[in-house]
Amino acid sequence: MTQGEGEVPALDAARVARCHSPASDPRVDQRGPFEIDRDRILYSSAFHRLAGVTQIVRAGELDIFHTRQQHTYKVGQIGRRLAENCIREQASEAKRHGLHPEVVEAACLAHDLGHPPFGHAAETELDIIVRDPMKCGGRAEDACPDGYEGNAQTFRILTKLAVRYGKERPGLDLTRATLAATLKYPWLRDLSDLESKKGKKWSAYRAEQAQFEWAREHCHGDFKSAEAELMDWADDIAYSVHDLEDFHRVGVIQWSEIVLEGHQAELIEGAVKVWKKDPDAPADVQARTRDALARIQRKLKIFPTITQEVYDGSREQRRQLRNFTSQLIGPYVRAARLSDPDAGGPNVIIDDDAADEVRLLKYFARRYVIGLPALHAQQHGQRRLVRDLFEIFLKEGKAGNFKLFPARLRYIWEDNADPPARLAADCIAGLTENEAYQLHRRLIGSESGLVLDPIVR
Amino acid sequence: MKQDNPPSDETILELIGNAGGEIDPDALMQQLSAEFDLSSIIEALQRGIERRKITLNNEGMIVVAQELAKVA
Repeated sequence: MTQGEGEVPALDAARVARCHSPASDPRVDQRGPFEIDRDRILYSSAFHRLAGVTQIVRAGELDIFHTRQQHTYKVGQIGRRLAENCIREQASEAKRHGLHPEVVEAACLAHDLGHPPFGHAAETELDIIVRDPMKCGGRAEDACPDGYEGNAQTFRILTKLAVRYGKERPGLDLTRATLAATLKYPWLRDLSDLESKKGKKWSAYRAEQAQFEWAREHCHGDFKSAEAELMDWADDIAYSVHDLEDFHRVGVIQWSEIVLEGHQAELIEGAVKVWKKDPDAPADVQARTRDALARIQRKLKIFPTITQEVYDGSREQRRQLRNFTSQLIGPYVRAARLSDPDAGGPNVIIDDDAADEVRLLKYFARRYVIGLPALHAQQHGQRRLVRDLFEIFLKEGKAGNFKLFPARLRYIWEDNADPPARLAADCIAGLTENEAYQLHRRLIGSESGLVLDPIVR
Repeated sequence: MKQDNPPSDETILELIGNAGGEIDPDALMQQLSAEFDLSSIIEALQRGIERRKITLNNEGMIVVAQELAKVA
């Protein structure tokens, strides 16, 4: 059938569909549907909150580390460039996937919305207590068996919790394509084996199963949409390059270990051990890691201020750092290629060499930063704080006593009928780190705060 | 005596060409070190990257930027 003027192809029509409203009228809004999605995410209060949330080190610490919001902007920029490059280089495949840069950027802007205050430490803690609220004074029937996961919380925020319209139109009412693009782990949690790939990471709770299935209607198998693949790769690039850059600036990356021959074996062994935990790890993990390290070492050779000097922010150091990261990112952007959408496999293939380097760069951050004793002590306190707040939200929420709740969180209990543990976790996930600290101090009585200070506006 | 000025783009491009289109950073710096200080060599390489004359390929070898673009 010939496509008539103004007629939208079936896949395109499905991609721009929204759950709660008809297609926007171009006479009323000059933006396309995906531009609207991107703008809705950017202006959401959940996005605003990311400025006060940890990437690895606490948001705002030393004013040098990326907050989740700064990280997110960079993911958005890289994601958009990835999409534009694919469209330029593979116009036919891009068209068949319906690939749109606005969708990728929107998904990138949304990808971390569900991260609770204090990052992964709190995420792990919430997962434990949402599944077993009896650890925090709750009852078995308060529990949600699918626990807590940042990506699933993102989907819940986008489809239910974000406040943009009235109750009859929950969430941001995004298009199907954008929602599908946010699903990095496009399955529900495998409750039969929490240690399996699908038990450890998942992108939607059972409470949002209907929205998840609607968003994934035109996707195949367990494969991410092409746009979700690009969002995921953009996140990996930003995390591996920019976070490493932060930690280089404060001097915790031991470049001497990375570039000197004598330390190679230990470094490779550590990286291999982490990679082998991935059920999809290939047989030649050792050789690929060794080769990736050799390439990174070679790439560092012409930037001696990075590997030989303590960072003090001098012009030459900053110049070389920027040149180095730019030399990394460009090839990583060009490393993504769209697959044939009818082939039935992954929709995007990332060149092995680039993927291996990014994995290794991420390992450097893990090795030198995540193992810092001070970070562990900080996280111990943060986990305790999360439990305390969870216990208070759970108890008071179940009793309908919302006087202790920040006003902007009360609607979560009023509008949703999910088990109490889920709603208590939603409240915590809606706080910045400073808000969590302030609220905790006030509620446990260590600091009264000001009567006229609402804490969480 | 070593030269005061950093090596020119042309000098670097010529060495890359002589090496068959790509050269290990160590080898390039080794060759240039006969005539130039290390700091001058590094300066020239940074400038070469910033002017988009040279770049690193996926293997970390130094190549002529336009040649890499042709391959891509």
